[in-house]
Parts: sequence; structure tokens; C-alpha cells
Amino acid sequence: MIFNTGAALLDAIVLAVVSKEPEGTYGYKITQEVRQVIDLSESTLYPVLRRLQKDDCLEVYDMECAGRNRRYYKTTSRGWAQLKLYESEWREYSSKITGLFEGKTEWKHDDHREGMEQHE
Amino acid sequence: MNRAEYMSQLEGLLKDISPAERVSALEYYNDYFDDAGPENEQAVMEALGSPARVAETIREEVPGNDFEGNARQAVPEDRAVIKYGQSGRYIQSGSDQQNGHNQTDQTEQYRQADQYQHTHQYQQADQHQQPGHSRSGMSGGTIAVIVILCILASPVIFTLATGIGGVLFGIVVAWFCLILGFGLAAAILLMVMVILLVVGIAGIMIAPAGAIGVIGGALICGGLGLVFLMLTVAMAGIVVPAAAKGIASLFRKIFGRRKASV
Repeated sequence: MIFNTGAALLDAIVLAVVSKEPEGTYGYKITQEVRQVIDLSESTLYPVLRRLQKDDCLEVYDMECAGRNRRYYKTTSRGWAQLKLYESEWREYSSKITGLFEGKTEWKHDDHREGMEQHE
Repeated sequence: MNRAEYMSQLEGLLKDISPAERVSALEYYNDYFDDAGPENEQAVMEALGSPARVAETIREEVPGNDFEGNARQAVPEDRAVIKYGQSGRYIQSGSDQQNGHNQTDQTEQYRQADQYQHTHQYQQADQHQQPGHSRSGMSGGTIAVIVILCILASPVIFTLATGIGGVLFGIVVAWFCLILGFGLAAAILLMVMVILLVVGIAGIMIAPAGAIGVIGGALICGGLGLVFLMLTVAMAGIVVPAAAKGIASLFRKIFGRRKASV
């Protein structure tokens, strides 16, 4: 992957992966699923999960599984709101870039001073 | 290096962060090894990288002197985070041995959270759209500049205003004097006409030719008097209100505009 995955996009991807599981999911599984989408080191995700937890986007609980406790992550209502924000921001961002690549961008030329501004 | 060595190295490297953060991170990686399965231990250690590197990533997010475990990190600049109050709940898993009692508590919490989520999940999603912020009227800066210019120009404005006022006052006074003069002339001429008419009629038997001449003079005086009377009425009735209106509007322009600009 040529493009960097910034902290915001990483948060969005992790939130999206966790939100797929209404009952919550656990660190190893989250890591494997994120790694199917973007290439990243396996040690990258713990800080992301911890950050999202501190931002009250994720909550954790322990559930017994095969004779031991496993920590589960689950999206909170704030996490859902944050995910919706990320999704709408991503749609806007990606559609603009795609529009540019496909030559569908409508350039505004109101006047020569401000002609190159695409939006605003 | 096996898993136990790896974990103890990691623990040693996390000595300087808060116990809560250290426990949380170590539990995460213990879970990670467990879930990967014993057969993948070496692969997991290779994928994670050295304990030093993992400790580094943990430290990225965790302040070293945070012993409460709830101080908020500075948010990385490219993250658009919806700001919340500090009402969030962190379910600390404690230590490794969990019992059934703890389990039911968490299931309960989990169910409540689930209901909460479905009730509230969309309420904040659209808040980030800011209403267009349109500016109206003059900015404070523009008004300040106008006021300063007015103050700087005040000697000129004052002198000009005084001069114009004086001229206007002169014109008005002259105008009223003319009206007064014309009125007086009309009154005198009409009085003269009456006197001459009386004298003429009285003397018509004594000296008919002279009396007719006097009556003619009286009529001329009366005519002139009427002309002056009409002039007086015209000036007072038509010209004065018009002049007053003009002066009033002029004053409104001068004083009204200054009031509006302050």
C-alpha cells in the first residue's frame, strides 16, 4: 500500500471492524480482520484500541472462553456516532478524489483570483 | 525466546507506566497469544516484533506518569474526534482469575450498554455539519476606522458646518426681513389708499378735478399695496415651508448620518 493510513482512518477502520459484531469482538480477531483490509504491523492495533477505549468509543468486558477470560471490545453509542462521522467524511473525501481521477470534478471559475478553489 | 520470556521482557520494559496501563497492555498481549494458539507462538512474536518495539507502541498512547489511568491523551492532529464529557466508563478486568459473580455483573452491564447503544447510536452523527456563518453589516474594524476619521476631520467638519449654518441662517433672516418689509409696505400702501379715498370723496364737491386725481392716486396705492400683499402671502405661504423643508432635510443629512455612523 502506497498511501499512509493516518490515525483517523485507522480509528475508523477499527471502529468499523468492531461494529460489525453486535456482541463485541476480541483483539486477535480485530487484528486479523483489519489486516485483511490494510497492511499493518500486528502491534499497531493495541494503542488504537486503547485510544478508542479512552475516547469512550469502545468499551471492554471479559467473557469466559475455553476455560479462560478473553477481553472483548464493543462499540459504544459514542463509538457509533464517531463511526457515522468517519463514514460520511470518508464518502465525501473519497468521492472527491475519485471524481478528480475520473475527470468528473466540476471546477469552479468564478473569477481569476479564486478560480482554482474547488469547494467552499 | 518463548512466549513467557517475551512477556516478561515486555513487562520489564513497561515498568515506568501506570500499573493500570501495564496490566491492560499485558492482558491484551496474553489474550493475543492465547487466541493465536500455542502452535503460532513463534509466528506471533515475529509478527509483533521485539518486546522493545511493542513497548514503544504501547507508550505512544500512554502517558508515563499517569497513575489514574484516565488522563486523556493529546489527540493526534488528524483525528476528528467528537468531544464528549468525561462520563465514560472503563470496565477494568482486574486480574487473571475471574469468578462467576464478576461474570454476571459484566453481562448485565453489557446488556444495558447494548440497549443504550441502539437508542442513542445516531443522535450525534450529524452534529458536525456547521451552519453557514454569514457576516452582515460593517465589521467592528470598519466602524472604528470611520469613527477615527471623523475625529481627525472634526475641525474641518465643525468649521464647514458653522459656515454653512451661518449662511443658511443669514438667508432665512433676510427672507423673513423681506416678508416683513413687503408686509409693512402693503399695509402702509393700503392705509394710504384708504386715507386718499376718504380725502378724495370728501373733497369731490369742493374741487372735483383735484379730488378725482386724489382718488386715482388712492387706487394706484391700493393696487401696489395688493401687489405687496400678494408677494408677502406668497413668500410666507409657499416659499417659507419649502425653505424650512429644505433646511430640515439638510440638517437630517448632516446630523442623521453622523448618528448612524457612530
